Amino acid sequence: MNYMNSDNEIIEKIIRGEKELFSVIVERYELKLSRYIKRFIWDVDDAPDVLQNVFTRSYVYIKSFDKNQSFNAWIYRIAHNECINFLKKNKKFSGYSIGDILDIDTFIPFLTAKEKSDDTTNSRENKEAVEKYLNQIDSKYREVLILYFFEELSYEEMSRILQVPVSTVGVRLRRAKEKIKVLMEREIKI
Amino acid sequence: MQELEITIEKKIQDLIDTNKIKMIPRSHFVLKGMLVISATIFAFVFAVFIFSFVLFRTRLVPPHAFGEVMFRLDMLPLIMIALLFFIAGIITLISHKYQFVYKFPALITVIFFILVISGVSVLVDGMQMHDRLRHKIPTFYNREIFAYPIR
Repeated sequence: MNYMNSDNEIIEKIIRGEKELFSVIVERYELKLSRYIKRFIWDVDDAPDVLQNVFTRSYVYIKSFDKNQSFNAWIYRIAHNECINFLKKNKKFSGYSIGDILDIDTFIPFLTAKEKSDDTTNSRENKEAVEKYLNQIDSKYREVLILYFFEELSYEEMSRILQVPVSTVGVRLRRAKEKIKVLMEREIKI
Repeated sequence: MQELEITIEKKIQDLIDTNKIKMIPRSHFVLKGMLVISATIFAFVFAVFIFSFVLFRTRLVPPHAFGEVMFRLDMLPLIMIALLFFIAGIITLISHKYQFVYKFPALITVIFFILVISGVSVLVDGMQMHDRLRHKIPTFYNREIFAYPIR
């Protein structure tokens, strides 16, 4: 019966005391989040622990969720933070500084990157090629690739998850694609 | 994979059932939000106060005061402007998690805050707030650190 309800309706019921309904949320998101976490932290063994932390944190902070916002973006934001914490703890983090704010892509205004039809890394059919080189890319670029190609989220949703302007999402995605392209070309030459 | 999913779902439900994890009450987040708003307002008021104070000092210092104190008078606005940038940066940092702030590049937000602070400061100076305050708290306004004490 609860499968028919929207996330926001279930959240309201959980907050009102129907705690057992949290398992519906876990069921709905565990596959998606598990996939996202595995690709982001690039560590299959530790991914279940990170995933558990995401759900634990979501439950603990559930009353801070604004029902007018998207729950999908909210829970992905928690997963994003948990992945960053994991990468920092394991010294695998390569990316941005204080809350992302001093990152050059976030600090300076850019025009939103336009998609080019002749860009070979543009199409979502190229998931396999992207996945092959994911672990060779900085975490800040890797994450936008995962959210765009594998989670198939819009720029707007990615902006909410990463808490950066939409233009920054575009710039990061363009740079990430360029990096993938360089890696692909390098391999072809070899 | 199926086994992993079941395990995590069960683990989370067990943690909830045994009260090992509890929801943080809404009042905690309301209080936190209020703290952020208070800190932002405080930083804003402080920035307006110092910036309008610079305008006030510049307006009141008579020509004959320039000379040996010139260096300090020149430095004061620079320090204040640096402080203004710093405070605008702090406000941006404090409020960065809110969508109406992070949807713009940080540089735009900092410039926006600087413009608002400057505009409000000009208004405050125009309303002669410091002229009135100087009679109420002369000890502050007559300090030597401000280069030329106003009597």
